[in-house]
Amino acid sequence: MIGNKVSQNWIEPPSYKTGQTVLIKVKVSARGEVLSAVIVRGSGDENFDRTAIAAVNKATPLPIPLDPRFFEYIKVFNFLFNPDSA
Amino acid sequence: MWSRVLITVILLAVASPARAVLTIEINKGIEAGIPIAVVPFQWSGEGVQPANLREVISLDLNRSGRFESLPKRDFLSRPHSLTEIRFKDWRLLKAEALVIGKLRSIGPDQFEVRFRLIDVFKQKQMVGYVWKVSRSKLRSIGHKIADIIHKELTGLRGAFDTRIAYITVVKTPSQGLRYLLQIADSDGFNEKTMLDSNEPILSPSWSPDGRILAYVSFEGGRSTVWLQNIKSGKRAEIASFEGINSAPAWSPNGKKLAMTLSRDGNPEVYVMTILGKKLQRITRHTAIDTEPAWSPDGRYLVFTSDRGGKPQIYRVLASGGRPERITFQGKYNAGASYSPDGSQLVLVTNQGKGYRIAIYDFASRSIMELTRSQLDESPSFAPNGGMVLYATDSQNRGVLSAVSADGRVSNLLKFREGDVREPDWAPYNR
Repeated sequence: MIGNKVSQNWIEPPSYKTGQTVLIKVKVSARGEVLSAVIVRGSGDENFDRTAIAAVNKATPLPIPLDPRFFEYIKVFNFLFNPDSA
Repeated sequence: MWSRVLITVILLAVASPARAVLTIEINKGIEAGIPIAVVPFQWSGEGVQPANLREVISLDLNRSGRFESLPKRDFLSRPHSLTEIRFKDWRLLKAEALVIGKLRSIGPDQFEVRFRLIDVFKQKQMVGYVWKVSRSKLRSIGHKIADIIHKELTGLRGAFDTRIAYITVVKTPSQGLRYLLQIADSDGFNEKTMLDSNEPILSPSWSPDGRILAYVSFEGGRSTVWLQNIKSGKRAEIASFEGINSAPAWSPNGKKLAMTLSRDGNPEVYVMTILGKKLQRITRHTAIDTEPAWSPDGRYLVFTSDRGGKPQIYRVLASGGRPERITFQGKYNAGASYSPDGSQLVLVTNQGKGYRIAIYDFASRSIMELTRSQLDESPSFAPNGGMVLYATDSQNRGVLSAVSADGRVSNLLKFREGDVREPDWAPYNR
């Protein structure tokens, strides 16, 4: 699934401090390719933000369902990087 | 799984039809090195390039365990300037960052180094630097570049542009064994001999400002603690009492030395002021107390004692007092020193599988082994706490090895000859 593939590509930042989260808006193609990934709400730690953007980009193509009916819903979606709730 | 995501999407769509945005939460990443592509630097000048900066940088980054320098045979292009970069080539390799640069001869023994660090996914330069240096400084520039990359991509300071001290024992046909006190860059290159002796040299220890080495020398047939200035080479005796004079350790402010002396009959820990040589005895026990090391705030000393029957680590106020036992796990724990933040000790442990390097964590009171061999000794932290340097045995020869502080990555340092022992990683100041 999508989340797993991003997790597998996310190298957690050693500078991470409790409570920090990053919200990223992603646009994908119908084949799951990441077309853009931008920070909606940063963590305040530039390095954490960088690792999140890199993880989403490295996870391309994302395993999205091939059924075109779903694509309308998920051509734009968010990733919330939130290590505290692990 | 997809049905759940779909339900979330639909629920969101129902709740706020105008902004139906699915949010997927990522709670866990992986522990791995950051993939980075270091492109060979473009050399312009006569003959072969005077330094392989790519190699210096790559080996530094890999040794830290925090990076994975991608093999250059996989590179689809070799850019040296911003306009030559095709970002697609590097996205395909899943490189998070790209290092490009140029090395140019600009005069007799004068070289210009240009370096840029690029964020592959933001398609933006993170930092860029230019240096003008002589040939002998080129490797050091490579280490500086690795430090800059480490800081930019992990948020933590690197410790590649630092030095180490150690003892090399070489066999010579004419004079028998010779003992060398040596210093080198953190990767073992740029070796320099500070002292050459026919008698054993032990326990080199860097002053906090990186200018002076304290060590034990047996020249004259008995142990003496010496101080030696790195730059001038000048040296002076600091402790030569009756009996054992050993294991010098600098206080964090550089004004005192803790050491082991047997002047009162039994090996005990003492603290001596460097100016005035005022001596204070710290331990009083019929067992052996030795190998003192200071906490970074200067409040405590840890030391090794066999007062409980087996060697274990104890802690005492640096002003003196009643020692408390710190380690209880395993039959042997010795040679401890503090991490730069004071939260951990690195030490030699034997948990029944040989002498290994381990980290003791004060908060959890647990010992975690970092190494897997049998005869590891003399560990010391890098000044950023990210790596540990220690001595080990490789094919019956003493060698130095560096291991990342999480134990994931370890590398032998290369030396030309002899048995290499008793390393100490220098502080930041050079």
